[in-house]
Amino acid sequence: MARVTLQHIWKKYTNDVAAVKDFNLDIEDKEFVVFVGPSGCGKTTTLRMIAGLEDITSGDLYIGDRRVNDVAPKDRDIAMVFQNYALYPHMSVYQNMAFGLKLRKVPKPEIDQRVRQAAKILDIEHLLDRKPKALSGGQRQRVALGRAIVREPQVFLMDEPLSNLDAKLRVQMRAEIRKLHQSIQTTFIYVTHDQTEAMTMGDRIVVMRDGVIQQADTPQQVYNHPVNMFVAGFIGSPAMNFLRGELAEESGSIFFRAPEMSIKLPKGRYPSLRNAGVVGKSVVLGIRPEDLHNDEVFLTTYPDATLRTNVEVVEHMGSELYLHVTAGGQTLVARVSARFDVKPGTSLPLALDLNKVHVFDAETEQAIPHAAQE
Amino acid sequence: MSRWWEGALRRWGDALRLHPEVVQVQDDEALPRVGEWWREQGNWCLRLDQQHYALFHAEVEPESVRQALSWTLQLSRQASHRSWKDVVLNWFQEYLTAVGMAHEAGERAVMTGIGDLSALAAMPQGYFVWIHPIRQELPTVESERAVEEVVRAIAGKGWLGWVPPSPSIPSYTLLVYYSVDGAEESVHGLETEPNMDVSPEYAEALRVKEHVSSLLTQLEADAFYTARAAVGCKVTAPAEAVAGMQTALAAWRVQSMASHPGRVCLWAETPVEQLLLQLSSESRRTFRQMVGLRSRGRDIQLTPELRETLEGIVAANLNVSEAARLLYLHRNTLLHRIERIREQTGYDVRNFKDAMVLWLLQGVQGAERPE
Ligand SMILES: Nc1ncnc2c1ncn2[C@@H]1O[C@H](COP(=O)(O)OP(=O)(O)OP(=O)(O)O)[C@@H](O)[C@H]1O
Ligand SMILES: [Mg+2]
Repeated sequence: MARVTLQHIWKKYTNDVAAVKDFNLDIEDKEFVVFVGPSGCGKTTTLRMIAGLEDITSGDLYIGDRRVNDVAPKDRDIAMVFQNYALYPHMSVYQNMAFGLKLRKVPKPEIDQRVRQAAKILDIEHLLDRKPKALSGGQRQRVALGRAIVREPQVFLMDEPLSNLDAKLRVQMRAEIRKLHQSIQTTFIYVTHDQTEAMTMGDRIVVMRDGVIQQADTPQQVYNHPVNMFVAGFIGSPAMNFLRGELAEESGSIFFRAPEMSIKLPKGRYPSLRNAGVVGKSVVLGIRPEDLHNDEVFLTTYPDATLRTNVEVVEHMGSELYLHVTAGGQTLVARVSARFDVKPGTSLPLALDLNKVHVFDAETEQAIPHAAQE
Repeated sequence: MSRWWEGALRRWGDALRLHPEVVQVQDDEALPRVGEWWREQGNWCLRLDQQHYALFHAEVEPESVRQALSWTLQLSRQASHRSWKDVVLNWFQEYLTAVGMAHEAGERAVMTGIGDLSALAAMPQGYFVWIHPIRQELPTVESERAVEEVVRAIAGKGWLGWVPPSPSIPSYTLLVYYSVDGAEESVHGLETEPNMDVSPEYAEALRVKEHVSSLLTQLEADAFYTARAAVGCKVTAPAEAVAGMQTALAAWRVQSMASHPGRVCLWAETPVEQLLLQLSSESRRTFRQMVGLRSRGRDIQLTPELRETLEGIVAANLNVSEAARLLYLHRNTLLHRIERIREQTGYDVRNFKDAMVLWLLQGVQGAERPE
């Protein structure tokens, strides 16, 4: 069993600033968890505390059923892959992979068996005699993974292992690592600041900011139901649009009002909005770029949710256009099909998909949950 | 027969216009040991061997000149009667003593070779690197061995040894002499583009830094050993070895002074810090007093929070929005802190000169803080 449990974990490097604050997370056996967040939010620190490379200031850390706060890193049964996937230049791939086991005095036949098995999983059997110099970037990265696999750890810890690779290889290696996770059936904890990587790799993603977990959930859930404006803005590319305004109630309907905007919100949202006490208050309306539509069907279905916008910039992204528009002094990005011919400097009506609208309390920046979620 | 120290003494005498008188002594005279300095009726004296000492009629200042002179003499002595490999190993001992890291008997650091040194005809060019653990616990024999294996696997050629705690470095530290003669094959994934904007010497130092930084990563991954490293200046000849070790120690001091140290500190990257470390305590006091003149409280002591604010603003080239981003603060919170600094000190850190004064003050105070 390789559950990893973090209970009220704090890390303070200096007396007055905490890098990680009251971190609570239960990672299941064989789960693939991704820590994601902007630079400096404490991802590496948390991972290093799990590894035992950094002391835990307070709180409890369990691997399996064992409290490991005071267990030396080498006895924690973990393996790490770092960003600098350095290999030993004078050693062959085989020797590189065997090195860690040799240090631990694992018997030779067993080393051999483990190295060959790992090489098979990673499809690098034919490279075992090569020196790192004679390998491509992706092959080196695989060897680095191999060095961790041969340890047969209970938990894999990876800190931005792909950030040294070019974009194309990175996409390919993401899939490889997922496949690896499937074939060796171990707990993976993976750190990245790249939200796309997090979304595509994790069973669950943990969004962090400023040392605090913002949300820990499946990628779909985090994308569709971000708990606050930070998560909403961080996950998804281009980022979610935020419109500032207020909620007003008129003859039984609730409207979002801002200069040159009046959007009637769907009835299903009313109970939760009233509950949250935001009617009559300042709110932020969130809408993802793909949930703004310029096709006739939407414009006619949602006449109460249409914005008159001015197109400032049109970015051609192949099959799609990113439209940078303004409406009532606020700026938005819309993602529309490239079959529309949109010119900068023109005006364009855009309809919001009201089922996909997010409402945030402007003061606390917390999301007002959809009724369906409650 | 000429004495082994005569050549070196003459060369030094000429260079510094010091013309010492060589005085004969009896073996049993209670004088300081060979290589040590003392004052005799206002004159500096240096013990040359059992039977001789040098008496200088001119001042031999500052202390570093005296130190350098005694060590050059020592080096020429060893070179005169041993094989170079023994000499090198013995040098390390001498260097350690020279930089104030002498130890009790039985606790001496033993340097052992890395890689095949038999082909080397002389001491290779390289860098001294102190690798010191972030945590204080003593390494076990097992982890010590693992650490050595990793260093050997990466470093190519050189020497390594464990140095017991001393007044200079109070923890159990790994000293590596990192030869660059044998290091053309760099660690893979780290071949960096040659930097065209700096001198080849500086570019080499940066490469060594990167190399050492990857060594630290390997130490964590394979030996579970978390450490920082301090790299000295390049040693191109044995006579520069003491300087090489001393600068590595100086880099270590800078690193242990910093509030958020990087993992590898390269001496060549720290000219300002070195300058501050060399100031006499009088000049430091004067500086602090002068800086304090503007402040109501006279003695400026920033809280860690305000110190971090200052560092963030300097790191952001005094750009407030950028600093707010680096410090994960709301712009208004940062402005509020900047205002607090101004109230407490009389300096506005958005102004280059003011920020520089406060920044130097942090360094001066850091240089004073006992380790
Ligand atoms: N050794 C240290 N001493 C003091 N502060 C540190 C140290 N290491 C990290 N920090 C601070 O702790 C906070 C979290 O850093 P951490 O490296 O965990 O962030 P991260 O999320 O991994 O960022 P990145 O995406 O840049 O790698 C930052 O404010 C950082 O400056
Ligand atoms: Mg990190």
